[in-house]
Amino acid sequence: MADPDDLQRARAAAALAEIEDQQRFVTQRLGGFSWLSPVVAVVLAVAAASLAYRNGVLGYGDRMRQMDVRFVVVQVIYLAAFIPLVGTPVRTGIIPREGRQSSRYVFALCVVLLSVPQLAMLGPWWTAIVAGIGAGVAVIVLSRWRLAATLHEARHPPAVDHDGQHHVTDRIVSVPAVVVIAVMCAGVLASASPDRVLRAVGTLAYFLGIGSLFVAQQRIGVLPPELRAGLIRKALLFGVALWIPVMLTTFFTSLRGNWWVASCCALAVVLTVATIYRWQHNILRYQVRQAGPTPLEGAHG
Amino acid sequence: MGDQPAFDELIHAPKRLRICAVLAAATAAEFTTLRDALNVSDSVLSKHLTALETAGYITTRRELRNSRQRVWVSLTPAGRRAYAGHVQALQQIMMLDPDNETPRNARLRSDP
Repeated sequence: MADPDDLQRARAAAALAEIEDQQRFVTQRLGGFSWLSPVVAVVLAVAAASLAYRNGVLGYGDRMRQMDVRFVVVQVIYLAAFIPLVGTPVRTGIIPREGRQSSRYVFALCVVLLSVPQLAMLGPWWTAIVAGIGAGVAVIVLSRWRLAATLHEARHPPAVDHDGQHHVTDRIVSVPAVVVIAVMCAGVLASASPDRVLRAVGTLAYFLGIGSLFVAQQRIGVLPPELRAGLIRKALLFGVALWIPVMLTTFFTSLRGNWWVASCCALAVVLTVATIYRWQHNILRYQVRQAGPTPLEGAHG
Repeated sequence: MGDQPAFDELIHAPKRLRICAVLAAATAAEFTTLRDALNVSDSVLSKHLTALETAGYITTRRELRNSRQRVWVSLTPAGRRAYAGHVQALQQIMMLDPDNETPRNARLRSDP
């Protein structure tokens, strides 16, 4: 007669094997769209090179002011190519688990892809080649990193701590609102500077601040996916409200060095970022309520 | 991950265990994707999802896309806790070798 303990172990082994099979299924689904990154890499490389081309002669602001149609179109393509890299627009039937690695990926992506054309625009014509190669390589490397992180997260047990609270939501504080506001204010003020290098650095800092807001957003992604609807609305808010200060100094050169205007823009940024954070918080609370009693509510009665 | 191991009979049923395994590896999965993963009919999958939903382990969200209704399924925090506890319980069972291999090895070594 078979040992009951052996039978129990056999059942447990079979169950764990089933789990392993399902995790493999998820990773295969998610990895099935790895062709996307080379395509995006080529698009971004061409766009980055095109953005940086001739900037030794004409600056970013000059080309925007002249309404160089090709320049504007390429810039839109460049920024639009971010979307498939930050989000998961391709329907795999599975929304990957967002975790700490995904947040790091988004932040690194924002840093690299925003700094490459910005830095290239400061240099002579050959920096266009460097920008193109840099953007392409960055996309490939970062995409491979993201895929590896996604597979790693899928193969590991769900991140639930002792109190049942998500580890990831527990670590949302990576980029506090105060830091984001400070960086973005500094960026706005620097972008009003008449000095080209300082302006470029300020603009970069400003966009990094926006990237940080997305990172904070991504960190909440472990909750049900309704939040993604909020992401689209927020992206519009970023685009309209947060772009204005930078665009003001780009199109109206007389505003460069006008610290009063820059200060007003900085104040607008403070209000916008604070609103976004509050908005995120409200959505998060709403979703947690929808999902049932939270571990915190359980812990505190 | 710090959760207490707890064997959950509801989750342990083979189909439901596989559903939870897919959902635990993702934020959400679509109904048809789950059906493909489990290789079952719509009705069978619906039955198991209803059982998990009644227990408060999953939530479903309906989304109209291209005039087709898609159902997204995700684990609730309670579901993730229960699943994590169940996986730990399974791993514990695997580790609970009564003689912890030592006596068995000793027997093997003592064999002529």
